[in-house]
Amino acid sequence: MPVRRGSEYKEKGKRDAKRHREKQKSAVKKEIRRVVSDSSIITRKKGKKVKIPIREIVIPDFKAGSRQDNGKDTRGGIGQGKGKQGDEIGRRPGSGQEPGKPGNVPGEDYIESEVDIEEIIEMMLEDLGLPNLQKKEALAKMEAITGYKISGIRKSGPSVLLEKKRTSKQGIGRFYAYLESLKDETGADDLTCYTALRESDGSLGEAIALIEEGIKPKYDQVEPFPILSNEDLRYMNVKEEKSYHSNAVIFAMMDVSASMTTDKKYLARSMLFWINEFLKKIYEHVEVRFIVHHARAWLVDEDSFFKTGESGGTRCAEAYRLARSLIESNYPTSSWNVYLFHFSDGEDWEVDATMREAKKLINEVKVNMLGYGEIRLDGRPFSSGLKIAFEKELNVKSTEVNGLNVLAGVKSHPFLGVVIKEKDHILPAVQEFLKKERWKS
Amino acid sequence: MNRLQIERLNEIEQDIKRIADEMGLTTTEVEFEIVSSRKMIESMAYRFTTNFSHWSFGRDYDKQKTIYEHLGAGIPYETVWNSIPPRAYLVETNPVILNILVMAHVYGHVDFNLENKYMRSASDYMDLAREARNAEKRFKAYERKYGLEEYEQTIDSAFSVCWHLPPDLLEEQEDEDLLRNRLIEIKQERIKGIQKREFHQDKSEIETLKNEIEELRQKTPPLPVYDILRYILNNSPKPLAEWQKDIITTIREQTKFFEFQKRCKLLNEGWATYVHLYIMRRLYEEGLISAREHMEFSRYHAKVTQPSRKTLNWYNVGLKLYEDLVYRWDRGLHGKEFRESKDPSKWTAFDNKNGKGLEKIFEVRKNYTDRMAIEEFFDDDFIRDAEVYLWNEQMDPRTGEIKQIIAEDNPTKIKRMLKSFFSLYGTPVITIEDGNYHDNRELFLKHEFIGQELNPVLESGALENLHYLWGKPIHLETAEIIRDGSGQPKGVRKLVHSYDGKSHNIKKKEDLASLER
Repeated sequence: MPVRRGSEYKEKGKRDAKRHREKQKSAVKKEIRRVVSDSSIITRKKGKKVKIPIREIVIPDFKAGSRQDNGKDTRGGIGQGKGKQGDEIGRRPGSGQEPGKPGNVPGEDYIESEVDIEEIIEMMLEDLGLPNLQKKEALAKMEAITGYKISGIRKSGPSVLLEKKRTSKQGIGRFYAYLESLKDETGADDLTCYTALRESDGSLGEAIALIEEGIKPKYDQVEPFPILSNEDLRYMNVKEEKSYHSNAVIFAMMDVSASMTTDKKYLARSMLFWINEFLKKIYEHVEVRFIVHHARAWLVDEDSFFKTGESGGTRCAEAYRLARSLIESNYPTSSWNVYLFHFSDGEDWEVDATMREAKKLINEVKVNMLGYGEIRLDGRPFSSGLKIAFEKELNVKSTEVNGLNVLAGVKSHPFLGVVIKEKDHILPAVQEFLKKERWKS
Repeated sequence: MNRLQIERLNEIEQDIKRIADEMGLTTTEVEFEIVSSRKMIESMAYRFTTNFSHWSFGRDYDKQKTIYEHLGAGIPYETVWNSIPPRAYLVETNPVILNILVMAHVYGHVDFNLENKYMRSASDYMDLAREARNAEKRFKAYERKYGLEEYEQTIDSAFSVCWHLPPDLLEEQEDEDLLRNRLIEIKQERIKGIQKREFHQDKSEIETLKNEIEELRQKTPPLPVYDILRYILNNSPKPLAEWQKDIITTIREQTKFFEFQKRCKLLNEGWATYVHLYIMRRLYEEGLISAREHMEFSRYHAKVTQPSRKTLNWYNVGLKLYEDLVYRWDRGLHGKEFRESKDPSKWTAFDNKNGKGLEKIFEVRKNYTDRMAIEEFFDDDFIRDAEVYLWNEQMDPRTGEIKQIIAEDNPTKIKRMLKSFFSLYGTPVITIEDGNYHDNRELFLKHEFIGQELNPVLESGALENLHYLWGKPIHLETAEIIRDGSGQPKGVRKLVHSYDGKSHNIKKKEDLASLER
């Protein structure tokens, strides 16, 4: 028969398709600097995935294309149908309209590829030579009192916790015991003994004396009542309910005085985004609190954090102080891993006060990290007063990493400062943060 | 598909073959295999029933599969392999009538592949489907032995330049030394000729020729070479390992085979469509398919031949071409005599009862390539009737969108464009000029500039891949368009793009005053 069923086959395409996807992934890796500093990624987030335009992997060949536009080909060709010269046959969005299509990258066919945020973080870690990070191997979990729970009964305790039911049950037991032993001791009948117990208010000694004095029964039936000795008191045992959670809180602090322009805030935003995503990866629960400051500091929501712009002086210490009081009241370091990240352009009216607060946070409050991101787009080479003070006052060392100026705490001193001068500094700055010794408690 | 349906397909296949024979087609036993849509998509991505492993095949497979599975579009209809015997796939889940249509269509291809001069050379070439199966096994061993990186780099590099084939695929390619000797002999003959003259013996002319001969002795290649991979195989100073030569040879042979197909695609698809239309009508007339099935078939046929606004539908234009030829040759509406006597009032009524329509299309399917057919039969009337136009894109300044508009509806200009497209198929002409450039076995290539610049990003990648195959610096002469302030072209500047394995270097040469077209 010339027409027959084909034999079973092994799906060959799968393996090669996988290989192609790996190549795509490494293409993302190559462009990770751009991807990480692309602020639009943050807004195009869709669940745990971000859409990233990556060039379709093609085999390069000699092909027509405009040299001027880096090969960006205007499409065109042969078509069929009614119409005359100049008639419109279709439309597509212009390059300015395609979201996220980077203008400065050589134009070619882009395919929007969905990439896991976690995958990107893993790429950053891999880039640092850090092993693939699993939640379970992350930080030691912390004990937190999340409530109270009654767990059993005990014989002592504050009167508010007296367990009446159990206590009276014990008392009734004692009543019957006393009643029986009265009968044994005196040979009197139930009602006489009962009357004596009632009259003596439950005192065995007094009751015996009353019977011996010849007390007459006053009641026609035995109505047991609890007789309580100290031993009969039963109290509720209350335990603190502790659960082992890994909690982290990020205090994002930002100078919103006029010198912090929108551009600078975008860089802060990118940096915070990745730090947040990273901490979400290693902690089960992450909260972010936003503090803005100029000469005063106050709590805001995320949206205002990036939008607030005010004139006024700059007192960084105010923000640190507010963060400290919030930590002490709501996020005790015994239950929370506390990360602070302060973005500023380096201006500070009261550097000494800021240093005092910083030291308190590190030495007394014992936060996991005090981060400082100095955003400087002016290209001026000299250091800001704030940065110089950190260098002088704290136990830190200044180094250059991938063109990025880093102030890293010596040994386990939990301080990290980075000077971000351009978009491309976001990746190395985030990576500095990711380095294990920085977030290890 | 159940057993009864398979039995029916087997019966009807015999009828299709009979009708094809009666129609005058060359037939042979065809092996039809019922496969899953996934297998069909895979074989389309790998270009054969099976082929060596490469990520680009995986990419195409992935893409097509996604389109098919998520959009339900791109339903695979047919693939046929020009093997011995020919093999074709039928998709398990396609309706029976669609599979009958596919079988009729396949018989059209089989005839074309057996009869067309160019396709015959392609299959004479060798049984490439079997070769591809063998290549899969050999290449797997290479990948294991030499590592994925070298394996992929070799394939990537060969794919980079594989479409640069000689303009005449049928031409025997002479051995380089033989060609050189022949060229030298010609010059020596000319010297002898000059020396034989009694008068006007031009000493300087002889000197020039002698110098040219000396130059030729040193020169490789003696004449510019179009077949880039062939030249690399024979001359690469890298040196290439035997396994790499095997990979390059395989890719070159497969590409050449597809190039033959590419050059006859319009005629081949048009022919298969013409044939399936005939066979399906006969099946209906003979009561072998029901009226409902015939209606269902008509719907599929309409879908396949539906013209597209933005691409050329081979099935549509190819079918139209054969139908037009039948009409004209049946009535004698062709030839110089007819054209010169053409009187618009008699035009539609003209019919000399010539009845040579069928004969003509059988001749065309035997002897023509697409380019030849376009040259000869795409006259203004045909282009207008087929409603073919050229389109391009413009920005709409109001909305910022890109508008696609009809750029050309003038048949003469369209024909010129079609001819140029069907000569090069989008592959720019690039020749190897010197394989011993700088006397250091560097490779010098030249792009024949005909108004179209090269994509510089891809160009860089292609040069890097060429460097991998050649192992010495690569130079490419091409050109760029000089523009004035408003972006209007005002001239052309030559440039040489070099890559030495580490860095790219572009040297701009003299400006050419006018824009070459």
